[in-house]
Amino acid sequence: MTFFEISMKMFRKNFIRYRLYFLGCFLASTVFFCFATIFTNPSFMDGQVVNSMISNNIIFPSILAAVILLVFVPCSYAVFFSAREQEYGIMLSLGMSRRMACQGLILEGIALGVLALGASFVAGTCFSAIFYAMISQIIGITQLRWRIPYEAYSVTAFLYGIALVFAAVYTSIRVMGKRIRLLLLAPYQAEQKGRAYHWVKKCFPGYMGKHLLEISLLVRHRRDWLMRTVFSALLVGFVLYLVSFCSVFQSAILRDVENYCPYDLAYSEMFGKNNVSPQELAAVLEEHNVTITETTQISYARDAAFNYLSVSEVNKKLGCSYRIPAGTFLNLFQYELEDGYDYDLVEIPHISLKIEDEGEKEGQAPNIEASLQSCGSDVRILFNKNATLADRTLILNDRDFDKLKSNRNYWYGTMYLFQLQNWRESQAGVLAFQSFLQEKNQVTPKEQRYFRADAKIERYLEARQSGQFAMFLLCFVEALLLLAAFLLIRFRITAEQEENRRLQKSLFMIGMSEAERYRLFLFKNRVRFLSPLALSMMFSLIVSYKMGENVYHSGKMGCLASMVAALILLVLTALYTVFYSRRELVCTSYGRNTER
Amino acid sequence: MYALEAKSLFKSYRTRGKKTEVLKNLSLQVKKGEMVAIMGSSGSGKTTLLHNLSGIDLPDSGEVFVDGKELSSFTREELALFRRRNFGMVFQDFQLLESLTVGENILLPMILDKRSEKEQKQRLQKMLKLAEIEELEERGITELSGGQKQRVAIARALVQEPNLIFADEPTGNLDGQTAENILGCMLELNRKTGVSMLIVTHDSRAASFCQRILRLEHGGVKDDVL
Repeated sequence: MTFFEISMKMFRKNFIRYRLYFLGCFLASTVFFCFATIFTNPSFMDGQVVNSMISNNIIFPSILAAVILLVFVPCSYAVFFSAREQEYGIMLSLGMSRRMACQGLILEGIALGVLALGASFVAGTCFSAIFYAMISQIIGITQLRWRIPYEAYSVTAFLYGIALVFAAVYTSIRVMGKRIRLLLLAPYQAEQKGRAYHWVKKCFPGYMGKHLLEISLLVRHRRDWLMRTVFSALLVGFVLYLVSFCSVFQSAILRDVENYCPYDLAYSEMFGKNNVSPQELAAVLEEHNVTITETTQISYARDAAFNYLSVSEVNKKLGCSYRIPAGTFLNLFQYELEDGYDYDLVEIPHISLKIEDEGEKEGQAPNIEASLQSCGSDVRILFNKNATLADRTLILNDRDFDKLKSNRNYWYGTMYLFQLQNWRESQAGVLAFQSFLQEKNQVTPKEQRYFRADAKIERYLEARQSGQFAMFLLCFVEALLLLAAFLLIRFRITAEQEENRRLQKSLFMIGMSEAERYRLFLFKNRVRFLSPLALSMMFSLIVSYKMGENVYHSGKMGCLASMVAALILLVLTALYTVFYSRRELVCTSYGRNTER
Repeated sequence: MYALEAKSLFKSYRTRGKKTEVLKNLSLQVKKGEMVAIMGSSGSGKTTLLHNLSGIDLPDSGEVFVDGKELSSFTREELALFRRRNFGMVFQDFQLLESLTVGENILLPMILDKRSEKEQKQRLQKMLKLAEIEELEERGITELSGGQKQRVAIARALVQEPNLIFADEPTGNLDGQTAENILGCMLELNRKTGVSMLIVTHDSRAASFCQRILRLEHGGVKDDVL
């Protein structure tokens, strides 16, 4: 028999003990792979095919999934090594060289890791098809076509490889450094009680005496547990924060749509396109039972950088009361400052208008430049943006505006703004009108993008899709984070099985009943599983409120969502501890050797 | 030349910031073919001494010579190879691999040493016979009793035909009759093969099987009884 054969046999026999490591690696890479199939899909990331408001939502969850993958694999590898510590200690005591031990351990870890990666590719390929179907059918992003780009495999394999190599190198260093004596004693080692224990014992001698057994179980490996409790509390806390973020984000982007679309439908007649009268629009909409309740018409001029509007028309038709003296202009910033984004509100101090000299002959270059000074700025959303408009808007005195009107250096157009009777039911009508516009303009669908009407319903549906898509993706990240937190605790409890078996044997020997031992295990597991949750609740409630309030002004809503999620988790965890304690009692009961 | 010689061993541990000296200027010699018991009360440093003598742990200062070779002069790799070929280890809690069968556990040191299949087979049969566990070859470790496990551990310690066997409480987990059988078995092996044995025990009956008894106290050898 060779060492390789022995190693393979040990690997096979121990496989069941590694299932958590395998499962962790498998799930982390499967979720990342599913995300990778989306962000490496060229059509999804093409702003002309899928709205960038939706496609950009893949970035944050993908980064989170990548971070989880990079952290999770080395952590679970370390736990995987802990499960084998004693075996390697025995072999080292029998004269196995450290190099051989490292090679064996690395080979096992990598073999298992590669197996998990292979499994995740197979499962990920199937899951991504379901993923795409859900995105298309449930969320309604129909532009997304299922395909598995080669890059999805390579990106996942690359990241996973980095994590695995790091884990292998780190473990090798640990094996090389750890003494054989300590490796042999690994399952028997318990940390000494800390100062806090002695302090509590001194202050509450009665309580400590009564709950000696329970406390002794808790202070065992206290440093390791403290680290795990804090780390899993952070993971669960982050999950709870993500839940609150999802709820706040969804409502915030829908609120933004209403803020940024003061009119239900808007289009501009310019460059000889969109030459559609309100009557024609009304006729198209009527066919789909959509009624126009209000029509506003504003003329404007524009160049490559600015839209220019006359102050009297703005005041009259858009309900403003600006006063702009001749030779000046007002910077209009059409932003909602409380939507969670940062905006550049730097005023333009002056502009030069190119004005044709009336005395010049037609066809000759302009020879007059009128300089206008800024008279201030206002932050207010007056009308919907549409593709025909420039990014920034300046409001001019009527006299200055009239100079542009007849000037060949500026484009002149009319903005049509409409309120509908029930914009939420205007989708079919808007769709018909968009087709009507394209036909009327006689342009290709690609060119029509520059003349599309802006409809509140379309933006609303896109925002809803975007929010749902983000929520859908974050659900997977949340599940993964919860799994990581759970495994962090569960791995350690599994590693303590040998100690628990010895403990059970001793307790059985001194006459402790099974019910009493069960209560002891239940107490231990409740503290183990529930304390990170309690910690995370405190952490997430504060963060959810603060972030929700500061960014989206919905702190209470975020806090509530996070609390509901925490309560659900609390109930599920409490139920799980009951089930798990019973199982642990059976698995470690006297006379049993392995967990089944 | 002694089979084993330790000169001025010092070893201490640090617990909760407090330094505990376990071995203090300890020296001893074991002749070839000698069976020596190391006795002492709990915490007297018996297991620490055994670990330091067998190269599992390193002393803070002092020297350990095996057949005239000093252990600290070896590199880690050389020490592993030396221990594999020259030492046999028996632990109180057996330290057998549960994922392997009895036969595989016994052969493990030979497998690590990449010995030929033929040699492995021959040596396995010899060891099974010697430890009187021939019928257990294919059994799993979890199916064995404490006495059977200790016999497997002893067979594993002997399989490489080492010059020295270190046994840490080899009968600590066993009942009186089984303990006696195991010690009888070890004594017989000592006579048959001439292997030197260093047995850590706190059981005076177990020590009575040995030719010499070293009594540890306060980190040093108190008595050396023949």
